Amino acid sequence: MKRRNYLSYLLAVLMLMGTSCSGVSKTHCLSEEKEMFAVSYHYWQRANEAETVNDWNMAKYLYRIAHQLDPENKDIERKIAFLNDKIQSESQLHFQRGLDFYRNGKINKARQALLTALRINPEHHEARIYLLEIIQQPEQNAFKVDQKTDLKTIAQAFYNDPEKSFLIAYFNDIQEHVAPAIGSTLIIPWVPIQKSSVPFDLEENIGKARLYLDSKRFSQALAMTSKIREYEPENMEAMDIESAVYYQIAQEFERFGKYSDALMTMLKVQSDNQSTKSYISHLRLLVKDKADQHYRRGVRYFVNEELEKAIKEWERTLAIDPTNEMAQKDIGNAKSLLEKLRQIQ
Amino acid sequence: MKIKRKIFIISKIGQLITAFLICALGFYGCIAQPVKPNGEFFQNVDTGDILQSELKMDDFVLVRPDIMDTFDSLSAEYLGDANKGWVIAKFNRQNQISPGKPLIVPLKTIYLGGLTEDSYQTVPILVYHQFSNDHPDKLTVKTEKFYEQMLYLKKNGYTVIGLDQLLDFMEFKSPLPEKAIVITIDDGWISAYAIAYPILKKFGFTATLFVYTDFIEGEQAMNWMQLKEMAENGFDVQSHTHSYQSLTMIKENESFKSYFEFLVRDIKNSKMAIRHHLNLDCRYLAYPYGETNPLVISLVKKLGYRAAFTVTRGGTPFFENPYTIGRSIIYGDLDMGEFIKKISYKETITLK
Repeated sequence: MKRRNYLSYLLAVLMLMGTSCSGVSKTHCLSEEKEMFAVSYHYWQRANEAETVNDWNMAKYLYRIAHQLDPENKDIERKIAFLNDKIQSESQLHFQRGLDFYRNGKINKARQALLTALRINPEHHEARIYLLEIIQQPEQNAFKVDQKTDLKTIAQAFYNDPEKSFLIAYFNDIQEHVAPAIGSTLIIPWVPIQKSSVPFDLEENIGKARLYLDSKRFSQALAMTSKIREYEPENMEAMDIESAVYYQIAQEFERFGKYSDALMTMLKVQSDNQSTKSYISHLRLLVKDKADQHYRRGVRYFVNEELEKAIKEWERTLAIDPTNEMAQKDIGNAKSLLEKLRQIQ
Repeated sequence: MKIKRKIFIISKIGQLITAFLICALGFYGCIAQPVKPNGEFFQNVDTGDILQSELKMDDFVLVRPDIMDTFDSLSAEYLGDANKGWVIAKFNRQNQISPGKPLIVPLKTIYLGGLTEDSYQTVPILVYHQFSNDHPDKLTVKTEKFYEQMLYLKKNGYTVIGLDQLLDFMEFKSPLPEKAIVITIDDGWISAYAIAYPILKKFGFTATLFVYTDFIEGEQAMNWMQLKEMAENGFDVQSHTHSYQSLTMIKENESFKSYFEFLVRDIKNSKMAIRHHLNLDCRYLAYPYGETNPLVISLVKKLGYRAAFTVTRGGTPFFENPYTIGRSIIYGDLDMGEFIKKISYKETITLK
């Protein structure tokens, strides 16, 4: 009897082994499955903890682990999607804030906002690029060759010394006597000057320049940075202060609608970083828009046969945008028409 | 008799129910088993004598460590770098491995830049010059003092890292342990080999030696064999230029061209000498006297250096300019309190 009982148990166990676990780890299939859920639950809990303390990036990663161990769990899936959106939107918010601070010359606050964007989303590449741009001042210029020229002319333009053409040749792996290709971009390293023997307290003067900037005494700030750069032309802090001054002046011009003046001011900024470029292109658009407004007003006067007023508007167009060919041409036409009318009268 | 028969019937029914339940469980195991993740459940992997269990997924590996495993061995196996055992330990909130207990090896890079809600990581980089048993001066640290400083680092959980690790951190490629620190020793004095090297080895630390190659084999300097021995023991040997002349001073009556030729020669020759004698790729430079200027930086970049170091005090965050990385000089008269200030590993700032 007992033997028959054992046989039925054995049969059942054999069935269990034969049918249920065809995977690799056959002997522990059920316990491993439980363990898997336990591990998934553990990481779900940790994800919750991380989310509570606003460590969204870590929370997302922990939820991903929980989800990969429990792929059917739709709640975790939704959590991941929610965190993805949250990370994107929050990091973008801090990034934009960082750019605004940067444009207003508030470097420390810009750095703090960009670091926050990166903490929230370490994959925010733009935040990292801007952060490095703020901190790491370039030590060389890039010069695009847009017309036929030679290295001596370029050296004269940059260093006021044609003999330094060898330097440009060295850094660009080209022959000193060969003209650079049109369209190519050359590296122009900044060169130091021999230090003056007259005592000059660099730190004190930089401090003064910064003080002038903070109190919006722009002309004094620029006078001080110019003094510093006579001593050390490539002084990064002085250049930083100058850029901040020009930014703020340009913004003032923009506020009063003086877009051309704002643009001319920004073109003095010795930096080709992204925010400078984007502000300059923003100003260019405003200038173009304003020039177009005057041009269209001129056309309306012309149609109404108010030729003198039309000419004045087109002249305003040219004052803002000297490259406007239409305005140039139309002024010529209007003037000759006016002359003919005068002759008739 | 009737009772016995009843008991027999009940026990039979019980056996049948048990057998049915076992079969049902087996069937459930087959049908109701949740959809498997993309990997295999704890696939047994034969790694020589030891059978190790693992489950490989896109973002992580779930491992059941063996008694022979350590965080560093798991890191070497799954992350391809034995120095990242701390990442596994930190992620799993464990100080030591419990064999058989599942562990996650994170395959996604986390903790980049050492950014938290209230701080960012800064890596202290120390500069030593000479060591002496009995004649300390401004740039010479007494043996006992150096020993105490290293003991402090060890006891307080600092991890000495190399420059490649530092640059990977700065380039946002990989994280560093919270208390990461770089030890550099400048010039190539014999005391670095005779005094500092045994102490560093005792604590399981390494260092980066910035040598000016013109000095090597000199009377008070190390020779190439000693440097080779240190390099073979995990120490890094990098450039402090060839002649240790200031790279920013244009001598009186010297033409700009000859100044520039000197720069090229001095920066290039040290790199070549290190490669020639030690077969090491020289990619880091410590500026003599810590002095540099934009032209020198442009040249250092042009000549293939990955980073260069000054002697400006303060820890290095990931966003530092890699060509003006600061280092803190450890002077002979520095007391322990001042030393502790120099090894601060984070900068407090609100990042939320």
